[in-house]
Amino acid sequence: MAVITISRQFGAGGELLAKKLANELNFRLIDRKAIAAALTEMGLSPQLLKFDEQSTKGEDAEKRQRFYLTALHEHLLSLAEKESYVLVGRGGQFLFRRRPDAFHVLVCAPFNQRVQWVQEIYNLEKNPASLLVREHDRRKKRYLRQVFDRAWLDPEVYDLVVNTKTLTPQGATGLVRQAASYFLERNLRESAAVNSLPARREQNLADRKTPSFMHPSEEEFARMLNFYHIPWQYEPKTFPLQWDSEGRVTEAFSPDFYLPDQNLYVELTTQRQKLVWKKNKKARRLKELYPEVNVKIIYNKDYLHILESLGID
Amino acid sequence: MSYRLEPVLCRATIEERIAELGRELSCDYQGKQPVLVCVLRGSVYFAVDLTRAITVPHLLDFISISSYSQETDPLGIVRITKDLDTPIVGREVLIVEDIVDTGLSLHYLIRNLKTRSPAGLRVCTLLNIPARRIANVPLDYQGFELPNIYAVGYGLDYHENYRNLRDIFSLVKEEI
Repeated sequence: MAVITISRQFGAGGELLAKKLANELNFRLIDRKAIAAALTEMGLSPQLLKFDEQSTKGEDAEKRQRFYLTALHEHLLSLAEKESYVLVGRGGQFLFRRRPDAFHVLVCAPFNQRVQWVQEIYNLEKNPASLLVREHDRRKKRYLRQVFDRAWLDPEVYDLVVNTKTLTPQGATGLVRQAASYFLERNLRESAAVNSLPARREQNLADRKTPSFMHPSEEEFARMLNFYHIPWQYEPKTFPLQWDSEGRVTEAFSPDFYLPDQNLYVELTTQRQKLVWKKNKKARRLKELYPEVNVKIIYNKDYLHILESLGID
Repeated sequence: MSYRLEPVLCRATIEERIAELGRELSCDYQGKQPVLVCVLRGSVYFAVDLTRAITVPHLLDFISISSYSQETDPLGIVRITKDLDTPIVGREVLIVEDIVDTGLSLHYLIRNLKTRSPAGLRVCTLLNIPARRIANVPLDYQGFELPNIYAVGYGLDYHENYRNLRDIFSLVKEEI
């Protein structure tokens, strides 16, 4: 199955482009509306949508956002196993990064042009339209930093970057359609080649029952451990850290991995260095309460170093 | 993204430390004729200089193991891509590494070589970055312990670059 992710600057026409593309390719369109429907189907509150593409502050909000993101990411990843789709935003370019069956597009336009289009669409004066565009850009940038710790507009992330001012929205759609078709054909050829590999490989796939990971970096870490024959368990234990006066647990810590042979708990964090203080605090508290437990926090920077040392960017 | 190199260890410091390691190893391996197992490719530079600093008879051999790469083989497992030419059963073996960070590949290598029943198995690494350790590995000899940096030069590469530098640098990324 293939996933085409469309990241877009506010006012650049990305939503419309994604809709037309999905129509032309006969792919399902996954946008805010489709996500809202999926949440309902999963029996989750539509209230969770307030965390959609929003950064958060405060421990409680962060917890709920994490819950929302887990549900969203699991839904998107499992849907990609079943059918091809066009995904609008939601950090799809990072969630499906390194997936050979994903194609990543960034739709952009110069600031002034976007302001002009926003003025026309929303019938706004220039100043409020400028503010709106700036606010949306800021919010998106912050959200992607918080959730994936990646720079949104880094061109290396994308397979195709289109400027809807110079190409016009119609021209950009045509170009993305053409590029996506080329990619899909190539992807089809390559998956046919993979499918013809000995059945052992498929058996390997089936044998390796992997849990649902909260984050792609955890999945990759698990693959790396498998590669080096290091046994692991995913979130096997929760350590209570704080209790209220009635003895109810008010704070707990569930490290991502346990490596039984190393007797080591590992917590991967994809947050920026300056945002990890809470995790550090939890790890310190864990060591105070459970001195026999070895826990290691792998910060995003360390993790990138590890991948880079293996020649992976 | 652009990069700059910040000096960490200069050639003279590296040479001096290798001479010390050579003396220590020569003493410990007196009369034992160890097999020095150089792990390709980064360790070649260190292994060559180390052998010249060891004054007791020894043998140099090479081994290479595949490294984790999602692109090439997502379902793969680590394997030896170039094995030793020397049987090590009953012999003293010293693994020579350029750097030990996560310890994952070294952990595999130790386990693999142990199955060949050597008389003794020790590890000598030029650089040790304990802050990145995931797998417990015993390090018997080490040149330098470094903080959590991305080291290049003197055999250590970044996408196959910088191996040829005589000094060791920290590769620092600069966001444009």
